Amino acid sequence: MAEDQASLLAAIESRWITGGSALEAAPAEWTNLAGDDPGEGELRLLALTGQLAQIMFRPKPPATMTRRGELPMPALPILPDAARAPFRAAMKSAGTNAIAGHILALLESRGYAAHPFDWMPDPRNAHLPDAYLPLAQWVASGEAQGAQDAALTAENWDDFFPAARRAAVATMRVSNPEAALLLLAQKFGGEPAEVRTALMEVFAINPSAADVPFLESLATDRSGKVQAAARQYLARLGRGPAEASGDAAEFVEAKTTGILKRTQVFEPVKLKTAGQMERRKALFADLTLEALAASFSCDELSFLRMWQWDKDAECNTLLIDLAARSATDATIDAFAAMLFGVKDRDPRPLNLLAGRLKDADIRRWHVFIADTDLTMTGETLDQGLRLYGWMSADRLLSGKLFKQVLGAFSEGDARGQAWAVPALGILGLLADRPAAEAMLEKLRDAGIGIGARETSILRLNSQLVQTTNSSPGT
Amino acid sequence: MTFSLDDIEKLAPDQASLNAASKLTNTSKWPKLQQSGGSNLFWGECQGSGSNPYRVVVDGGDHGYKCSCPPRKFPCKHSLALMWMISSGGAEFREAQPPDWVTEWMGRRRKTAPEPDAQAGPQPSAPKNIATAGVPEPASEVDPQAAIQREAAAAKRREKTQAAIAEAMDELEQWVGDQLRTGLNAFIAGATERCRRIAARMVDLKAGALGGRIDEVPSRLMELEGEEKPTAAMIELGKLVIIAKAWRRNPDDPEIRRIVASSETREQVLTDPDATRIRSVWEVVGEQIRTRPDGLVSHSTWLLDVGNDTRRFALLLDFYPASSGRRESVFVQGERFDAEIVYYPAKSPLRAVIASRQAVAEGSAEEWPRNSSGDRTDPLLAYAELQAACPWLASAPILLDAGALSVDQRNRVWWQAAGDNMALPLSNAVPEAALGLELERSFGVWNGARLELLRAETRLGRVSFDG
Repeated sequence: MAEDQASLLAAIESRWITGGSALEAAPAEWTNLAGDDPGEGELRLLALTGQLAQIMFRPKPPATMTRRGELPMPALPILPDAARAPFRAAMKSAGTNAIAGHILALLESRGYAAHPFDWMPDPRNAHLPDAYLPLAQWVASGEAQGAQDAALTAENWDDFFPAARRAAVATMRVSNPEAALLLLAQKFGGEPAEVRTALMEVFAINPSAADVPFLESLATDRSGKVQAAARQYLARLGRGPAEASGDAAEFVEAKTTGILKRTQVFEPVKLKTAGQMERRKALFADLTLEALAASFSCDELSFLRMWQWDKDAECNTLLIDLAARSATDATIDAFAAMLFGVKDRDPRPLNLLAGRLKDADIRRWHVFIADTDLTMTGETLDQGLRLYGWMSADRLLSGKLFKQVLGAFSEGDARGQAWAVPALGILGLLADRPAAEAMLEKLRDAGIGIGARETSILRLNSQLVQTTNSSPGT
Repeated sequence: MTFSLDDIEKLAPDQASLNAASKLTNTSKWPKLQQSGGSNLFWGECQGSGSNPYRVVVDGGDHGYKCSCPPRKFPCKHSLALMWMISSGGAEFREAQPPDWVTEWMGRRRKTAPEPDAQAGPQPSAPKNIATAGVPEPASEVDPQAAIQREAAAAKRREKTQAAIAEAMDELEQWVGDQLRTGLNAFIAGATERCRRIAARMVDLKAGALGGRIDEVPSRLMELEGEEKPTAAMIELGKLVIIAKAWRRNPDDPEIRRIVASSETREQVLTDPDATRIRSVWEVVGEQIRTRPDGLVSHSTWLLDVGNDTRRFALLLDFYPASSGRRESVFVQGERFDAEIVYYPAKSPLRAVIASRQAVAEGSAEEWPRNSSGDRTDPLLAYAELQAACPWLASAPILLDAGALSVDQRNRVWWQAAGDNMALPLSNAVPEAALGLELERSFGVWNGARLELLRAETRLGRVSFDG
């Protein structure tokens, strides 16, 4: 706005701000328009000055304005428009961050990333899918050109945010495990306990005897969780402590059963108080399966085989979790085969092992889920999902789980529907695209609206046409 | 199960609804008719009395229905008409995937398989007969004397209305003068109460539309920083003076009458031989839905002419009571169609209705026109020109050339032109990702102090900021 006009407007406005006439502040050619009536003149002056201000006004930007760096694109193609609405609905209905993570993994399995206007990553999340790391870097720093464009080194370690750092170390564990170990030896100790605990997960990738010295050095780590994790990884490598497990063994009782053929079995000691249960849980968290088995002079697998699984479900969970964290790969394979062999068993124990299962066993486990009883499902079933969008319609539609889900909706069974909602989410994550479409059709026939919240993951799945640069079921 | 005529008769709340529905069974009133055979769903868009068409969906499975019209009767005439067209088989429903609004409706409802009688609510006392629906009433004999009396009464009503509005304009100017005498600071401090009182007087004196506008002044002032408010108040009050004077100069000017009293009906606009008509490809570039202090919801849909390089916009504007519930969007953001738009008469036409509409080929993506050309580099030049022609306008659509979003120290977001020669503060929140995108072209509504950014062309495609 021209300076003189701005000054003129300011002078007139200042008269009106506190009240009174502004005619004296106006130039003669304006007041001439007003005529002889001062009241009318004031109104005309108001109309003129208001309109001048409206047309000439330009907002004055503040001296300091920040422009964020260019938004990087996710490392995969953006979700097509048709899938964006079901994606938003699915993320909205995802009850937990874990489910949201599975939805993103389903997208990734078909070769897509979420549209940045629909979802943006939280850089504090240490488990972000790799495709979103550039975006997370941008959110964290406002810059697209982050340190993660360079290889992670001891020098630029602090420039990486935790998820990017974990991803970089994980990549190095495959491509250059010696360099990864060297880097961890230099930088691990300087991180806070929470970050160190998350970083320990990289030892699940490509474990080898070369890890042993570093893991053994963590015996004196400041964090009990890190110490326990180190012991468990050592145990997986067959380097667990030879000594017995001490106090934890007090919660297990060795018995002999059978009259003609005497057989040794192990079963949990019956507990009477919540305090005892808490202590058992704490001791098991800090243990290895090998050490526990050693307390009873047997090996890991023998101990698991002799365990009495029908005594205490909570202790079963602790034991399976212990196996998942610390048993050797050979023990895990044999244990999984043992669990698969038991019919009509609650599938949840397998869920705890899923992180250690081979892909073929994961698929067997998923088939197991599809044929499990609705009452045995729950939110926990999603914990071990690792393969997405691969199961065919004939398996899913003929499975007990989907039939019971359908029954719960068509019969208006409120309790069954409460179970059916998370179960449908799991089925939506497992199904391949034709299976998702087929399930939606069956659900529609059962009276479920095509836009029902419960079907949002299925609808998303049905919209995700496989891209050429993705591999199904991963 | 789909629909039989018996079903429709049972569902209809009364004979009048059946009569009204029969008039809507003409497919010319339905620019879109689609179905999803697998799910027994039928939906369409019916051009009703509003500027935006109504979205109607019926479920042939359980006879559920939903229409975006203001609900007065259930089912409404649009739902009944859609059922009727399904029943008669005379209309062609194209097979399609259910759009989001149909999907969302299905998601919100639970099928309980109600009997048609139960869903139709209490049985009306008057009998219904679908066979007689639409049959014209026998023409009554024209009484010339009664016609003269009716005309005289109408003229008298018009005269009384003009007199009331003249009184309203006098009161308004008196009130504006009072605000200047007591000071803009005092006006700003008591704006809600002061504006409410004068707005109520405007409504009493037949200047209802102007009353609604005055009622919104306090909320517009509230959006601004303290130092901006006196100038904004001066502008708002100045425009009221301009409107009052423009009305006195020509009370029959349709544009001013629309601002002061009431709008023409859709039919009046469509049959106006002098109305500007533009046939082109239009893109839906934004939507604004606001609940006003007077309890009305204003629903604005902005269309951009992408078939011509004219920077021409059209505004489809509807009002409905907030008590009638949330109204869904009628168009999908970015939707394009070939349509004839008829503008309400105005110095610089903006508000419009759609006379006819048809789909354009999928994937057609005409470029948005550039805002600047030659020496026209000021992004607000078009706005200034519009203000010069129609100084009563509070806000106007603008197209912006290349720019990006920046954040100031108070975390306010600004649209900043490439080259940094201009920055406009935003009134709306934007997704975080938008802060890292170059906005090749943008569309928004500028009110002289704030930009409501609605849509932009980016390397992510055209993105919407209005949800």
